[in-house]
Amino acid sequence: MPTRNVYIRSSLDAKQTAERVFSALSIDTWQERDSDNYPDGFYYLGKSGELEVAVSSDESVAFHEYPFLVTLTLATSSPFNIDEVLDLMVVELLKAGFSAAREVSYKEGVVERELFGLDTSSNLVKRRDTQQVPED
Amino acid sequence: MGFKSQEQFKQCMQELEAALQKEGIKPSAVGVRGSAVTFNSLNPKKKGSYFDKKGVGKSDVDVFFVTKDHLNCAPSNGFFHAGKLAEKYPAIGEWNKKWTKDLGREVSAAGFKPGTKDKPTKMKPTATDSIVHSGGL
Repeated sequence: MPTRNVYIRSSLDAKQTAERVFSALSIDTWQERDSDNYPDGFYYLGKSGELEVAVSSDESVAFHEYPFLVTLTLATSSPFNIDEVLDLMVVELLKAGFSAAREVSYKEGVVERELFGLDTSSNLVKRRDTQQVPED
Repeated sequence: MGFKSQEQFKQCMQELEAALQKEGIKPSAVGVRGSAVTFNSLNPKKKGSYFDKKGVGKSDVDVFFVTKDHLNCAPSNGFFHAGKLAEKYPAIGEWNKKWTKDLGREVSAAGFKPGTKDKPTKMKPTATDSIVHSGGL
């Protein structure tokens, strides 16, 4: 089950953010779930065909300006490449007004980030930076 | 709660240990935590909540492992989010999905650093909210 994570910026609360994410991705079936494996003790899970999308709050230091995490999981049986699906999802999130970024790598307290944007023709643009984080 | 039998719980934990081993992660403890263990939530952010309060099957089975290893995803105060682990360690993602299917509700494994007195790990499992399969907290 390939999985990818995207951090998003939103000024809305968790439920409103989830509603907007699922609407942007045309996912009609979603629910709030309880789990102590998430910082707030709950998250939102949507499913559409071979795609699963979870929206939760997040407290990563390296992504302090992005308070929510969108986790994308694709069924192993899917003929699609998860990174291509991820790019399509990010474009829809950007069009819906979210800012988005992802963790490329983490080593020895340094996180390499990929920050997403759209050019004037609505093509996905990616740039990278690094953030120092405290090593736990 | 969430498991049909002690045997099923044991199998679930052993398969997680195997997935961690496959990914080269050495856990010092593996177990289950949260309202699936305590029924009433002990999470201070969820006072008055309990297992499946939102409806049958609406609470996850929250599995954990504790490790001193340096993992390939950035921790947040000693906590490794299940989705981030699944991205960097596919065997953990496969385990999540296998057991979600087997138990008929969402199951995920989050990771924790052991923490110290001076630097406690946020959200870390404790003896009062966990059933430890192997190792110690």
